[in-house]
Amino acid sequence: MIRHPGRDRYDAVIIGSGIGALTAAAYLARSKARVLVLEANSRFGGASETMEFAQGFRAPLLSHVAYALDWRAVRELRLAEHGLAFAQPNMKMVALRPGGKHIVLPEKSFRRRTSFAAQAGQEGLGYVAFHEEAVRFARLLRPLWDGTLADPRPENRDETLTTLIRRLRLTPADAERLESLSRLSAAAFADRWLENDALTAALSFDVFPSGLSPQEPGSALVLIWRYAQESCGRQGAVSQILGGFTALAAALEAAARKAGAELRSSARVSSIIVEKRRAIGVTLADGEMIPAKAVLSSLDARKTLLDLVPVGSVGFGTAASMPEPERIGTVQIMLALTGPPPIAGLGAGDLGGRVVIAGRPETASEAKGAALNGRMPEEFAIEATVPTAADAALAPAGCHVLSALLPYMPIVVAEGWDACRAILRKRVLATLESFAPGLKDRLVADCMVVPGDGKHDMADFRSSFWHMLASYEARIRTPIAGLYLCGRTSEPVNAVCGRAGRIAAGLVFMGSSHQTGSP
Amino acid sequence: MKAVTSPTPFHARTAEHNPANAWLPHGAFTIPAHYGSPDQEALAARTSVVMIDVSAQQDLHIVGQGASALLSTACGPAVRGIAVGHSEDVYWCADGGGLRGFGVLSRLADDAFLLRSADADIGWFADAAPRFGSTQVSEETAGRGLLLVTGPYAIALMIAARLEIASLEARRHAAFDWRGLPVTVFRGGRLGGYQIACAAADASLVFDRLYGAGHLVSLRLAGESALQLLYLEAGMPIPHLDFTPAREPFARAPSPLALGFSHPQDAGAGNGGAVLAGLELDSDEPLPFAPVISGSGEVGRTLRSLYSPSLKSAIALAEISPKCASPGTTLTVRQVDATGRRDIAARVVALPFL
Repeated sequence: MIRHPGRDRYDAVIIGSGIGALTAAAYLARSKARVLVLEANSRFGGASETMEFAQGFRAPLLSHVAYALDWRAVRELRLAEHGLAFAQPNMKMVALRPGGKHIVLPEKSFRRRTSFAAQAGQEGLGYVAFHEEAVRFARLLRPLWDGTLADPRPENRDETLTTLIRRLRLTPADAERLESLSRLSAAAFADRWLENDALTAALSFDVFPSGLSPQEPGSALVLIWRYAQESCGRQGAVSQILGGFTALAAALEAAARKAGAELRSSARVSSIIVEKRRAIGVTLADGEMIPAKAVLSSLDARKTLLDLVPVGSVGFGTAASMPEPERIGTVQIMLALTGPPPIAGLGAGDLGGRVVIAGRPETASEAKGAALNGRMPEEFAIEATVPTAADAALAPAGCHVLSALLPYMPIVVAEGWDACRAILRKRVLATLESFAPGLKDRLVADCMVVPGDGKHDMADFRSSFWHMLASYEARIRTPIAGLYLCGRTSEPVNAVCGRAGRIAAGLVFMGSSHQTGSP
Repeated sequence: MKAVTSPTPFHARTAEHNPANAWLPHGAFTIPAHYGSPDQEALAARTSVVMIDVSAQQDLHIVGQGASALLSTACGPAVRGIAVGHSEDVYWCADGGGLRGFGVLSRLADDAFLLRSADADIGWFADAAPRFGSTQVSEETAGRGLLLVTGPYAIALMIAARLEIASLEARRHAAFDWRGLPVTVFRGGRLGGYQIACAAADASLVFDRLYGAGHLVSLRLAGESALQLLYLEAGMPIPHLDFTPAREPFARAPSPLALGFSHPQDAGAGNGGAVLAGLELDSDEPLPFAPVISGSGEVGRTLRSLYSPSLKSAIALAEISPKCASPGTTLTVRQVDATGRRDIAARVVALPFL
């Protein structure tokens, strides 16, 4: 066993190199801390990958749009100087409907709400009212979700809501609304203003990263969380990164390296060393021990606290209360096309939008029910993008890529994924063809990624009302002093944000201080 | 939906001696409430010997290489020091520090433990077991009968019944071949005496042998009412009667210190500002869960309260401010009911009462 000499002790060792880990590394290195990032694989960036699935055709894997990126980190780390650029700062949303009567929601929804209402009539007015309510409430809760609200440290779960209402200074009416969100589904929330099922289905579909279906209690809060996010300076916007999340990871890596962080690939951490309930370093799979004043993990909470720390270091209550790994997965189909997808009734200007196919509000819920029982859903809920519409470098000249995500899919199917793969491909293509006649004629290659393909290294988790209302500090700190979580499980919803990395770096920097912020 | 309870393995025998047909539900079992006179039964435990069916006490077997690590994580590092054949009182808390439960932990072998308690909290231990290697947690209450023999003549009853336990030291347990009947005897516990465990199929025979020898030492059967009084006199709180166990993973209440539990590792821990104390009331009428007043301010509350025939007055456990917990301190217990408010004088006494 190799032991690092004491003088080589790092200020912080970071396990993993996902977006959260690289954000934390850049912030810590920027504050002159001695930081080491340890990545088990041969490349940095974690799960973010832009995959070349056919000769000359590339597409971002799994996360093809950004809607929860930490804008403070983007600005403070000057990621633009390190190559980060946005292909689309604010994407439209298109709810596809049979017969070509699609609903196109404007990208600058707030500014254009009146004109949209005028065009879409009664339904448009309903959408405007829905949007205003969601954005207004999202603004009230933003201090909780952008990390500026200090840890309220409630005595117990029953007091979480009371403490939060007091800290956010909500009016009695808003407090009552927040309380009702714990029981309300996203579909029911949208249904208060909207009568069009297709629009309700498309809007409520946005809760899918949380693992909740739009008809589950508490999913309304996920919708509010979505509207509390900011993209390229616009609240609730969805953006497309030029080059996908790989480009974001590369920009963060460059920022971290420039600030002085060390990064090591092919360095798998086998355990976290804990002495007197304090993390004092890590041990690698080859036996090397690396001492550090603080350890940050971008792995999920279960992996970090139940597998990497010595047994018994974590209390039974903490272990029991960790979010359960999600039992549903996501399938992605990438299509290489010789031209733009010929979606009937959709103008060329709308092709760069986020296309949602979910005929009814129940579509996603029924799909989730089937997935939990290990069956293929009867009807798919699909989110599709054409990344090449704004980022031509992803395909040969004149060609296009269509990336379709199918959330609420079973992780394990009774017949086995190998047997189901061809059937699923045929069904999805048929669904897409029904909206884009002639699509198959333009298809030159395709690729399908299913759960179990080794592309989902991190266990997904299911957001809960209480997990979302906890402060960042409560999600980042662990029962072991000096050990922090900075990955996706520390975010309110399972999404690539980087915010947990920034706040974790702040907590490390400030030591025992209870304030949150950046170093 | 009404909970379903089962008779204990001794039910055939205890029913013969229960002409008042007084029964109580206790966990998954129906147990004798009393055999005619709870006060006389409690007095007999002080003057001669009583036999109580305590089969409703829950036994949790924790077996495997990680059993010691599991229990030392849950109940404190002292568990590792328990020798095979020895037992210790233990308690376990939620991560927030609230008391979840307590019991007697016996080490049966290097990697096998028996946790006997009024409420085994199996979910807490079973959920954690997979993290501790091949540790298995199982509840084995239903397959055995358990009798408590206590009182000054308890050992005499053992001798009269020819159960050779003379070599059994306090806080130890051992398996015995009792004239062909396999039994396990544990000596000690807060009430003293002996706990005799046997297979459910042997329960009637074990009962008959002890009861048959009992006429030599004035043995009396006692029920749950007398047992609860004995626990109160011993200063021992009972889960679900004196306190609600902290079953939320991060609950902070009830504090162990407020219920009479303390351990060196708790030093400096927040205790909610209360400690467990005993109160003797200037009244024959028990005053459970009533405010305790010192001067003009409230300093705590009583827990369970019963009339003690041995002390000839009502007594109560109370969680009160440490400033008022010194023996001899005079306090007031306030009774508020439909007829108005009455203040009863009370004196703090050291625990146990007897």
